[in-house]
Amino acid sequence: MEMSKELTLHINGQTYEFTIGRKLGQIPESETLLETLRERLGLTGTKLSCGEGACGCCAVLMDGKAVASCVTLTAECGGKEITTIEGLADPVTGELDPIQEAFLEHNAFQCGFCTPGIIIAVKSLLNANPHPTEDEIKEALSGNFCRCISHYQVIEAVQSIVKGGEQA
Amino acid sequence: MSEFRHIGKVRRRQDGRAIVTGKALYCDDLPIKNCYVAKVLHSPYPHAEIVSIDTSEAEKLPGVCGVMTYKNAPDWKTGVPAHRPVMSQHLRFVGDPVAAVAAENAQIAEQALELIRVEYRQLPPVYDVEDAIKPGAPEVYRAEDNIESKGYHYERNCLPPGSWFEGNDPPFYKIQDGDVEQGFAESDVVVEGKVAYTWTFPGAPESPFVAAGWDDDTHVNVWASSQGPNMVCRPLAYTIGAHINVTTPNVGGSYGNKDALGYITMLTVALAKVTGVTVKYALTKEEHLLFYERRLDNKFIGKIGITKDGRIKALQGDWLVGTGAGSELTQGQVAEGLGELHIALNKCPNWDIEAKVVVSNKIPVGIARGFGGQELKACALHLLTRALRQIDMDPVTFYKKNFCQAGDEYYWRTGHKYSNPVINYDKCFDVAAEKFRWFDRWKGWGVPSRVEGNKAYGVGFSLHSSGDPQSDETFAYVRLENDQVMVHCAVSQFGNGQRLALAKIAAEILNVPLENVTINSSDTRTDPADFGAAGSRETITAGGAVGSAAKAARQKLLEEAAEKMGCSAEDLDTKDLMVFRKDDPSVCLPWIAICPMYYSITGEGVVKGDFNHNNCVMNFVEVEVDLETGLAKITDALSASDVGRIINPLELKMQFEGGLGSAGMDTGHLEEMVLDPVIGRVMTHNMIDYKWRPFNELPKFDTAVLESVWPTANPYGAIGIGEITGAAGPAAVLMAIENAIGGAEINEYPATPDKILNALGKAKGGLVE
Ligand code: FES
Ligand code: FES
Repeated sequence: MEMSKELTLHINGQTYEFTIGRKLGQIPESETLLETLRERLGLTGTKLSCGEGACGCCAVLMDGKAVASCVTLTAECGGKEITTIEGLADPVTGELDPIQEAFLEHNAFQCGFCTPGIIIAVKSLLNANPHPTEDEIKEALSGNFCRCISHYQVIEAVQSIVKGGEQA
Repeated sequence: MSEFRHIGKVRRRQDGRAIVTGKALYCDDLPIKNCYVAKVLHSPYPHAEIVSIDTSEAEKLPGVCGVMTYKNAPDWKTGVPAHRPVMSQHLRFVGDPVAAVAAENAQIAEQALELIRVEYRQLPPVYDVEDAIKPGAPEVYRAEDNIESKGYHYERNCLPPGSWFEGNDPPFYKIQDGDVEQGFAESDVVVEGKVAYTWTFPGAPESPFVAAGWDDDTHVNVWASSQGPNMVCRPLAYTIGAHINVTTPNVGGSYGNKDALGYITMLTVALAKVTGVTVKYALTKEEHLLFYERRLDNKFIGKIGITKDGRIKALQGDWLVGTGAGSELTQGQVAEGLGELHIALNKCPNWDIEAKVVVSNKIPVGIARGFGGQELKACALHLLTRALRQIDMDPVTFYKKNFCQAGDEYYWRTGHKYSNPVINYDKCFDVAAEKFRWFDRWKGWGVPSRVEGNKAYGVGFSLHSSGDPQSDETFAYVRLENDQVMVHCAVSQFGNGQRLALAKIAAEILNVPLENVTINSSDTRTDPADFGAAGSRETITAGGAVGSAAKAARQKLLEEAAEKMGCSAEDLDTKDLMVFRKDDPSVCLPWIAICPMYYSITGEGVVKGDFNHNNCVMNFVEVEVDLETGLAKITDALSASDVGRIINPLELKMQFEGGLGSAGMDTGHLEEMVLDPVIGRVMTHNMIDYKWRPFNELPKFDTAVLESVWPTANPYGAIGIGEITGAAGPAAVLMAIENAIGGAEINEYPATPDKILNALGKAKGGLVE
């Protein structure tokens, strides 16, 4: 019998205890973070598109930095602080993150399928660089595909936060 | 400034908060109870026959509840005319389904696929439209497949012409008007040639999804990532003889391409029938690229004659339309493509153009925005540039002379002619050309606008117009309950802002805050019939139906209030959920007193549709070509239209910008699917290899929008343009590239660096023969 390993996940301020293994209910070594979020925890705001790290739809924050959850193994997320799109708003007041507010204000989406991933990527950028230039914004988002071409409004939304000097 | 409360004003989309917080539900996010997972085994060969197939081991695997192959699949067919079976022993492209499994979860379903034993016999494939119609070419379908429509039969890789678009009328697949020989004789310049437009991937981020479960023998529930729920259920319901209810939650992009979902819905509904469970089929991105319906490819081989003063005199040609291994509605795209060419070159008196819909061992073709005209015009209008060069007339001047004007007649998809006495885009040409500084930047054919070091810049122009914006039926009803307005119209959320437009229209007519209006989730159980979002039609059709329904509900509200207030309805008006006397607003009654707790006031509306309302989008582009590397980029774009009336200013701007992507404008120089000719498989089957535009490669983008208030069924005189914003793009881009590189000719899309260097004589070979 293989040994079960314990796995503690911190997601959106909650702590989850799992074990890794191949029995029913356990998390197999091969399970991706995206699968855990969507299928075990019902956090469907994180989207699956390419499934191979190319498009950014599945981005989540890991210790404040955007990662592609479709190519991240859950078994390797122990002890990390994971934030998904559902975890950005204030859990008590429901107040939106300034990025979410700016996206609404500037209508920075069309179909909205790429939007959670883009908002996460913007959060990651502003965590590292609170005052990015336009080129830095574009560069930081170059791994996020948006087929509807909502890019122009996204850039406008992000710039409005940077200009507004709000703490993102 | 608009005189309206909501129309033309920037308003937040009602679903916006759900989208930015991750709460918006797309198909694969829905909690569908007791739902099994479907996985499909695909043909590894472009053309083959199943010699034997053994699914017994797969069926024994715990957790598998059924396997479907050609042996036990229902005998249904989809396509135009019906030709594509659920499963076949004869496999026609890499990706063609060989077997489908329903299992408790994806892992088990995938394991089961590995246990299926198949022996194939390979057959010779054919890919190119010209090769496919040569005598002796491998046959993709056969006489015994009985593909027939209106007395025409499948023959030598050509599908019968025509579709349900013509009703019982003859198929519309050619335009033969006037006398082309005489037209050529009257021409000062005659050009001949061949131009090819490649196959591309509209590429919604959310891959197609269908779930299906049978309630009983005659009722099926379907959940579909579709922009047109009625398109999903109505044709299929006829085929299978059962009633289908369709739910469409948020759709993660469509671009026309996730409309009918014809084949995968049939496959999923069949698997649900065979296995007796509810099953969901969520395509992986690789499946989406490898086997889902793509944009058509085509070649135009033709001859065009014009006079020195830029009057087009004759157009002749063969339009070879590549539909791969199947046609979802390709013949319909032929009909609309012909119509779109006829609108663009409307002043041409002599026509002889005929289309052939050719099957091959490439991926089947489905519905995509631009719908036939984008592809045909990318080729035919590019050939026309050869003639314009000889008479030295710029394209804006030429099209303004030849484009359909108010009162002119144009062919549309039934094969009949239509016309509008008012709609006219003359002013749009002028305003847009001025804003783009076209006449400053245009230096002549084959002359760059400017050269900076290795970088040469050129400009291009093209335009597109469709007869669809007021087509087909849409029904709607509006319910007033207490202080709420509920709108029922089967309009999906797929990014275009249409649901916001409907909310605004209802709110404007009932003079209430937008927050009091709810658009019912798009579901055929509760929404009345509608042709669906296609051909930019919903601005007029859904807008008109909801507008009429809101007016009818308002009238009933006032009548019921009048009874209570002891006056006549004509004496009354309503604002902000109060009904009041026009002559004395202090005499008033709140809505909740007229429709109290358990009370509904319902108004109905309908637009029956016609083809007499043509929209138009003009695309102006500047490209930069690196003369060393051959890399072309769009640096500056302007898209223009006269939309009659602006409903959603921001969403309209974004619709224009959206014309760059989703296999629109960028197919001029960037996007294409690449086939490995040895194994017949698409090489660009992931989102890195299929190239498209990222955030750090955006051109400057501008729009010019006029509001002439057209006489449409939209209550505010609007006309939709969403479908066509990128359709003229590829032709404009290729024109601009040829100008940038000094006029060297490129006759094959997209103008990738190899083709540009080849045209410049700087490279030989490569992918270009
Ligand atoms: S879905 Fe993970 S990067 Fe595309
Ligand atoms: S908004 Fe649709 S893909 Fe970005």
